Amino acid sequence: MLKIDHLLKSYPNFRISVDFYVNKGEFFSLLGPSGCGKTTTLRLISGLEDSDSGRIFLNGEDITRLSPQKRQFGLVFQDYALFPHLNVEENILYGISKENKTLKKQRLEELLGLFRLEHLQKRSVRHLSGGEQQRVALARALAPSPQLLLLDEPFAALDPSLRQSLREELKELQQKLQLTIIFVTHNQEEALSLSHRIAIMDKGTITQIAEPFELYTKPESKDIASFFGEVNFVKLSVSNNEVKWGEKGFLLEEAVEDGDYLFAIRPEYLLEGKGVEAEVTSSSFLGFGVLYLVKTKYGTLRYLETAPSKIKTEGTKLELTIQAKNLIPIKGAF
Amino acid sequence: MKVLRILALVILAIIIYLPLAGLVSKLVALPNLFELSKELIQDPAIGHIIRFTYTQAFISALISLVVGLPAAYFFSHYNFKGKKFIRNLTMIPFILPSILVVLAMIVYYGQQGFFSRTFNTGTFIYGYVGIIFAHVFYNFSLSIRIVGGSWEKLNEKLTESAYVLGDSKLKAFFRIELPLLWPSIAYSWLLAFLYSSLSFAIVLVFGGVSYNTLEVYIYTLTRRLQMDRAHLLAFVQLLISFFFILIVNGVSKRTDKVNKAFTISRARPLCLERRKLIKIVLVLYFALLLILFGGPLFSLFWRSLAPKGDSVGISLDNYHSLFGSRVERTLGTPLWQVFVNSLLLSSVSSLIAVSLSYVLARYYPKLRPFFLVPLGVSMMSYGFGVLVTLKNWVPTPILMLFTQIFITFPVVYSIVSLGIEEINPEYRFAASTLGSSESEITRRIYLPLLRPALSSAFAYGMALSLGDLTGVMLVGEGQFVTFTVALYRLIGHYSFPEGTALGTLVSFLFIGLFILIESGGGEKSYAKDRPSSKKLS
Repeated sequence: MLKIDHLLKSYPNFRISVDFYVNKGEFFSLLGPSGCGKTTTLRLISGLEDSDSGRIFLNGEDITRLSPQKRQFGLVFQDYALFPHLNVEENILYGISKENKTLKKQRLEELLGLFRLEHLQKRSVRHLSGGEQQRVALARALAPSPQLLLLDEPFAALDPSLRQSLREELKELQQKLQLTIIFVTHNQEEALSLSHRIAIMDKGTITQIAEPFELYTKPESKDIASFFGEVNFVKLSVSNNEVKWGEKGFLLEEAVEDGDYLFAIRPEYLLEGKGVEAEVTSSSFLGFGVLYLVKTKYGTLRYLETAPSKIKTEGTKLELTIQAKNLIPIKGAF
Repeated sequence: MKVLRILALVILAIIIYLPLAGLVSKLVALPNLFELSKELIQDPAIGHIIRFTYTQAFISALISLVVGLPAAYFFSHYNFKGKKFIRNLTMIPFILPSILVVLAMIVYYGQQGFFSRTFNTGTFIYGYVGIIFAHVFYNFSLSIRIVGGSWEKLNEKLTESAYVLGDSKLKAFFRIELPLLWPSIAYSWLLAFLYSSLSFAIVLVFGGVSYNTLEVYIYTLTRRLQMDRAHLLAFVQLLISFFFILIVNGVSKRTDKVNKAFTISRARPLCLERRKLIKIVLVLYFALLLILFGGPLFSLFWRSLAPKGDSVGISLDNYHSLFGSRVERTLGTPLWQVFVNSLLLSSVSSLIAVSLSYVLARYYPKLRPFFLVPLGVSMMSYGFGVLVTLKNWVPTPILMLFTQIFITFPVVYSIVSLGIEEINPEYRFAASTLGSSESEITRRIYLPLLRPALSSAFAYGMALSLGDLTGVMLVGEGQFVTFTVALYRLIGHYSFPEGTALGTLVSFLFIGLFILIESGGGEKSYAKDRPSSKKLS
């Protein structure tokens, strides 16, 4: 539905160069550390910034030079930018002020109901809680029924406890209304739990686009692998598509050429069982599991034991193994 | 320490509240109050004066606003070379003594003025137009500071949201920006209105016999020894200005509220590089400001260097004759005495105001509204209160000091208390757990941290006191000659060459003070625009 074709924007010390597409009804996330250019990318899509070159297509139509007024996208900023001099109702109706009265009324009721804002209809937006403000901002953006909804870190200004529930609401809403969403965030968990696909951004470019599960299990670079939580990097040799883990040999699922490869192994992929000898050097209890640092012939590794019966003490000896499907070489490293 | 605090309160009460209380109580005690009031109400001249006072203030404030708005827009939306310098330049007229502005305008726009001769316009300064022009000269920077300050903080995502929701730039301006800037616009207009309505020196010189503001009329009455009438009018003026200051405060609070709610600093003002049209408009606009408002000041400096007689070139003739005996006869005092009087009076009063402010702001923060009362009182009303209450008890030089403290205190207090508010109170607790006594905390924590604010407050206080004409003329009764009185007399005797020389010296002094104010963070506090960051005298 939306195609971003080699969009380029240069600043004195920074350059944004992106190329991707978003399907209709898709929840698409731009994920990256702050300063990677994801918000600017969103601004380019919305038309608030002009690109230097490249094109933007919406349903096949070139909208690159269209003003933000005419693109009819919904946009929610991180701080919501609710109009402080207008009340909840006036904020929501802002974008459809030209419509006729009945239609406006109908749409308003619909949105107030959808976002559970009926009791706040006439309230000044200055007196709303963070979560309420966010709902008003979403309602305002959705009022003109935009083809595409752009969300710039909409959860960043909220308490962690509130974030969780609003995240679920957003997911539900997206499915219910079949919204097409581009979601900008620096929070991996948010992106993983909400998105159909995620684009990882770094230094102005997209380094990998994939579904959350694939991104987590098959990162294309060391940086992407470390971006999603704890990970061990182990250098292993592959010959005839077989890799040796301790004394045990595993056949890789995907064919690779012979040579040394860096493997990203998540702490939770390690299992107790015959393979590589290890000795516990420290432990941290995380509630749902215990994260151990263990000394092995591959160096110090992180090993996560979920649902442990007891915590292993320092010096405990054990052996660690892994399943063949979890041995994935990082492309491009070595 | 406790004794000291209470002493500070008592001193302030004597200086500020006693004369005001005296003004009211002595008025009530007047035997012919009823007849006097009746006579006043029926006098068509009074109605005329009140009408003139507030219509000219209304128009002056409106034009000041319009003249300053483009600069408010440029400064808040664009970055360009020399922005800070130009912004500071626009602030200078605001702190100059009004009598100096009068002189500069005469030199530039007067019969023989550079502007009038160059553009062959003749002079327009004597009368309605001149009065309004001078008030605009003074107050246009208010809207630059106040509206510009709000505009700068206006969250640009608000307008961007409006664009995305379908608004054109113009439409978003009217639907989003204007409603949010409205309190600031009203506030800067109101302040300019207040200052223009309390104007004294400008109306005194340019108004002639036909145009009187209340301030000038009260002064004229006291000179004619019609004290009862002046007394009643001083009270009326007190009521009116107090009424306006209440409105100003209300609007100011709203401005603060709007500024705080939902606004952030603009991430980065736009670069002008690629915007040719705006660049041209900007250059034209500032060139116009420079010609209209910078011109008088440059012309003042230039004329002060003109040789005597018909010869051309540059000379210090005017400075020589400034210190000569003719000027001494005109002023009634040798010039060195004028310097001593002015500097001594302003520095001592400012020093007292700073000390009082420090003690009162630190120990009585809750009494703040009471300390800001002088903002709502015209100098003429207060001065009259001093005359009727303290004249027979206190020697004139001390009374002069009182008037100067009255002028400087609220502004100095605002700057100092803002400085104190910014100091984390935990420093105090930390110091006391480390064994510091209260006086040690003052000496080792507060004073070093407040140094910039204190020096800025002191400089601002001095500037306000040096610029005062109302207080020294009314209470000093012409015996005590300061810079402003000297300039007034030189203008009155048509001694313009010497006037320009003295005016130039005084302007340099003010520019020095302005730099001191700016460097000490005073701008921050007066940019918040407590209503009488400045009083016209």
